[in-house]
Amino acid sequence: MIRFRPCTATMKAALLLTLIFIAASVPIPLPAQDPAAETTLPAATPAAAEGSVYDLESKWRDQSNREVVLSDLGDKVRVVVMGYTTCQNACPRLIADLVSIENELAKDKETAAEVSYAFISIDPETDTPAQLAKVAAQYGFDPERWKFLTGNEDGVLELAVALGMKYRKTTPMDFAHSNIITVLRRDGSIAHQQEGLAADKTETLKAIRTATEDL
Amino acid sequence: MKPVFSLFFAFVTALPMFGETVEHVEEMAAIPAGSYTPLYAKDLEPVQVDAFLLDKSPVTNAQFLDFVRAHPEWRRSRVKRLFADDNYLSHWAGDLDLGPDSEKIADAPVTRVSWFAARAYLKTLGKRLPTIDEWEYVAIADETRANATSDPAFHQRILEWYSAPTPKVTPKAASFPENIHGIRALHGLVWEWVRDFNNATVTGESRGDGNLERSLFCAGGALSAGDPSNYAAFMRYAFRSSLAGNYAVGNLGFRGARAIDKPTHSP
Repeated sequence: MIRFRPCTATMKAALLLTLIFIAASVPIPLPAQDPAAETTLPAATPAAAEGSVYDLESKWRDQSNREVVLSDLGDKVRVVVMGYTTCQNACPRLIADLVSIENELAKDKETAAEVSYAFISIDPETDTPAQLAKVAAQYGFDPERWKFLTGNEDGVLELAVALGMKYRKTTPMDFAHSNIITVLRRDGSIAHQQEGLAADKTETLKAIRTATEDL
Repeated sequence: MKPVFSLFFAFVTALPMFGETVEHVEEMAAIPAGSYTPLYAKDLEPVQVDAFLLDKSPVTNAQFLDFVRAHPEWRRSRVKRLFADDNYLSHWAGDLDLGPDSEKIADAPVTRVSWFAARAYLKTLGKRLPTIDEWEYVAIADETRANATSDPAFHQRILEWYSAPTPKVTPKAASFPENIHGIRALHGLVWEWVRDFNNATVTGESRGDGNLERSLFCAGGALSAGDPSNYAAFMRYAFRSSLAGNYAVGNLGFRGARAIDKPTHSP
């Protein structure tokens, strides 16, 4: 599990400067013949750690084919994943992880009432609102609490960048992408991110509870 | 492996396509369609790149100043933190003030601009950032060859820049030679943003996975064992994977790209 580490701008600048220093100021060691040679880089702190994804102005459609902007997701704490519905592999498991978070939170009605969920598609071509509606119905999600969104290529790219998510179309049908569950505070900033499938959700639950307490 | 001739052919045939229709054409060069083998190519398959237009030089401080003057929301005192961190344009003296070195830096590439800011700037001109594939494809050219990657001296020159100390004042792109496409200073001046810097390629999908060993391996495989020749490209991928969309970094600038309007065929 990769926990989101808050990082001050100064630290971040230092980190980057170090990297640039490595890149620009010291002779570069050529790749060792030893294949075990490793290059370790710091993980970038996503943009929405400091800002709000609700500042993105991209337009989306939900599973009811209503036009929404991301700030419509605000008000409550929002647990978000990005994926695509025709994905056979990771995405159903990501959704399963969200469901398991929802189930866990349901034990505390007050907290549960302050949390909602979103599945945001990275595949605008295939994931039409109708397709999203089909999937949402298949899982029997409460549409008040669960938003399925689909947008356009640029909107997807910007949101993915804001959340620090990597993806790439690998075939006409498939994507490689990070499996990240993001907890957004009411203001659209990142409270926590959990990376990997079926990861330990203790920290995520804790972050969600803390975020619901900020009004 | 001999794309030069076909590239040339594509170039001449591409010329009439854009002539009159594209503004800013004098600051952009037509890049002919072609292919290159990316660093991450596990399968060794070259990637096809369509013809497109690319800015001959990176965007300058003076140009970016005009943009923030017209778009106050992109001034450094007002920009939203999602879009640019507090290092954004920090080398300027103020929102609209390049500072005492103004004359020296006006025509030098603007740096300390975020990916979001670069996109916003380019959007006002009907341009976009080049993709990784577009950028890397153009970056395999030197002054006389569309693909100079088989020449060790070509890689050596790039690596020498990567290992040279950063100059105090960023030089102007005009002092760099044009490559065969008419593009200046892809190497040797500043690093540049690309549209899909968050592409899951060398580092895989895992953002937290800073360990590039597997990928290096993979690149090594793609370049035949022990061939360090494309280590420069590896450095670029590594650098990109360490970025976030709101990072504003000294040494990191950008240039614009645009699709070439497809000619309409009458039946």
